[in-house]
Amino acid sequence: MDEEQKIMTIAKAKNVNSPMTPWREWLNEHGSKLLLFARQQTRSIADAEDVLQDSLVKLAKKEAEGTFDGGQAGWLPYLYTSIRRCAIDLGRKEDRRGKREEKVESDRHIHTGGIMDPWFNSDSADDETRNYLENALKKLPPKYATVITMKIWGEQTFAEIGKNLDISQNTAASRYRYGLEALKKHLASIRQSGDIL
Amino acid sequence: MPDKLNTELQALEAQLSNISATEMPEDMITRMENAMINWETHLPREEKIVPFAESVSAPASATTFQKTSSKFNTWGAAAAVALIATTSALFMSGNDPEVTNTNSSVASNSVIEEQPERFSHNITNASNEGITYAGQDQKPYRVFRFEYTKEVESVDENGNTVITQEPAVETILIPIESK
Repeated sequence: MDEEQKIMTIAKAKNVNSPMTPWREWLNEHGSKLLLFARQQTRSIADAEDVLQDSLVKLAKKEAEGTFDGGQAGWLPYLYTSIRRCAIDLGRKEDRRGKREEKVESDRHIHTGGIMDPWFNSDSADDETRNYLENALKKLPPKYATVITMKIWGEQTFAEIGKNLDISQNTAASRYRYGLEALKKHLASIRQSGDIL
Repeated sequence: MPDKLNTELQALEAQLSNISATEMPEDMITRMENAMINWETHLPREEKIVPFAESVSAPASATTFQKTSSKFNTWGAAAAVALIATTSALFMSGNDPEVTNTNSSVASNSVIEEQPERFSHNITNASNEGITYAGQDQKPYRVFRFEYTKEVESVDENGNTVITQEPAVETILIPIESK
């Protein structure tokens, strides 16, 4: 490896003086929604980052090899599908390895006083409501939470959601409604106990 | 298509829409970007984990592991095996290994003469952690991490046999040949 190649390799490895790539611009715009979806699909922030990274790399590979169809408009749908598949595979492997990482997450929850890797930004005025909404979403059955996450924060249509999840558009819409109703019930019960306004 | 959402659900929908997803931290964006740029050398998560078939713990009397379906280079796997064997030999020779999170069951007021009559260790997890760059010339290394427990049998002052299990972690760097 000559000197110039060595320097470029080091610069890449250390991300020193790297110009902003198109990837970075796109990640600045869409990264948060993808990370949220990955968090919703996995058991921990570490798992979420892994499945997201694996999915992004697959996309980068396809683009580099010229095998990706659909152009930039197809990146998001591809990534949603890929994240979900990677998360399912990871979940199966995690089950076989036992509950170790869940315990780690549980321990982190204890050590951080319950504030652990929030999924949503907090406005101090609505922080408590945000917490309840977030916790309620986490308690939803995954099939409902997935559709809600993709619809509201992923800004996907029911048609796109249906395609990504391999379900019909009507099923996607139904799950969305049932999910919202379940959320409403959960929040109503909290409201009755006087915890939120 | 189902009917439109009723008023209450619409209100909930609006409430949810008003909260925004946490931004991806800058350092995470950088990691993602770098991974995408260097997609050729990226290791998928499933290849970072070297599963042991069925049971993760080896028999108490021996250190064993099984070949997996992982895809890293055969010579790298062989080198890892050789290094594990070497490390085991070091431990067996009585050299002081790096031990973390010792969890001894021995009472603190006992005097122990450590005379290991039986020594074994179980690898509980092994993973391929990916690639790092180290050394003055920043050469690439593949990083392997091994978690294991070792059992040391000893005799306390009362003549009772005490078996101590100590979890430990070993990280091994294997240089990668540059093209």
